[in-house]
Amino acid sequence: MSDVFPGAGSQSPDVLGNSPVTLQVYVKNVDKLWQQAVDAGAKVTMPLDNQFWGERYGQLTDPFGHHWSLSEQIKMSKAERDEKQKQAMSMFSQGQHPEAPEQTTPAQ
Amino acid sequence: MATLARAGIEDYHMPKKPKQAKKSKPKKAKVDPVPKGFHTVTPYLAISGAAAAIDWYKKAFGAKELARQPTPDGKLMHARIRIGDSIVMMSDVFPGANAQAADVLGNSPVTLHVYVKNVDKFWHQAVDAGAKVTMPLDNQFWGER
Repeated sequence: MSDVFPGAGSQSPDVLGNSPVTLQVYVKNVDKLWQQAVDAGAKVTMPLDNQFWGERYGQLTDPFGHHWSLSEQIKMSKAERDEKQKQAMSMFSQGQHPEAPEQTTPAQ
Repeated sequence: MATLARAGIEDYHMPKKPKQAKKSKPKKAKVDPVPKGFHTVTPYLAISGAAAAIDWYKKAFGAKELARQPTPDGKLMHARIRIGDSIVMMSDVFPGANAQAADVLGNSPVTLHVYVKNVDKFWHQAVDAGAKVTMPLDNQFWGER
């Protein structure tokens, strides 16, 4: 990393308003790292939870605007995976991303 | 850094644990917290047209495609490629996602840094594939080309 200097190719996320890159971190005890990051001031953009692809996963944005996802593979029951997958696929079929915090009701 | 990260991952793969007397309980299948082939940190790119981007990364950087999960309309929910020993993940941009594509933002705050053995060859392959040069390849004061 570096600060942003005039003439640099990149611009910082606070100036751009967002970032196209999420840094994915795999760790053994994701709950511990998650809590440490949140306590340090990271903003939760997708709560840490068991996901349909068999990981305990969540997303954070750091105080400088960079996105991070924290995850570990876990053992999940088939029923739990199926239920989570059903929820996620229903959101994708509506053009929504499963990480969207709220599902909007389609106007009829 | 990659070496350190790999050492860390190997620690996860091979936890040291004391030998215990075997019990008659059914053995639970262990799940490795870190998927095979991953370092601790992996970039995940939000791209407008992720499928086209994969084709381009193959051509420009010799990327190997590891996985892709398309939606019925051809957008990618998720994809993985490997460049050298590093995995890069990506997806198209969906409404409600946190990240936004670089072409929408007009720039990116992240530069993906690649170390390779023959940088001139790698560079020319990328430029020939249509990469835009933003800083010419040259010997730099910190001892790198």
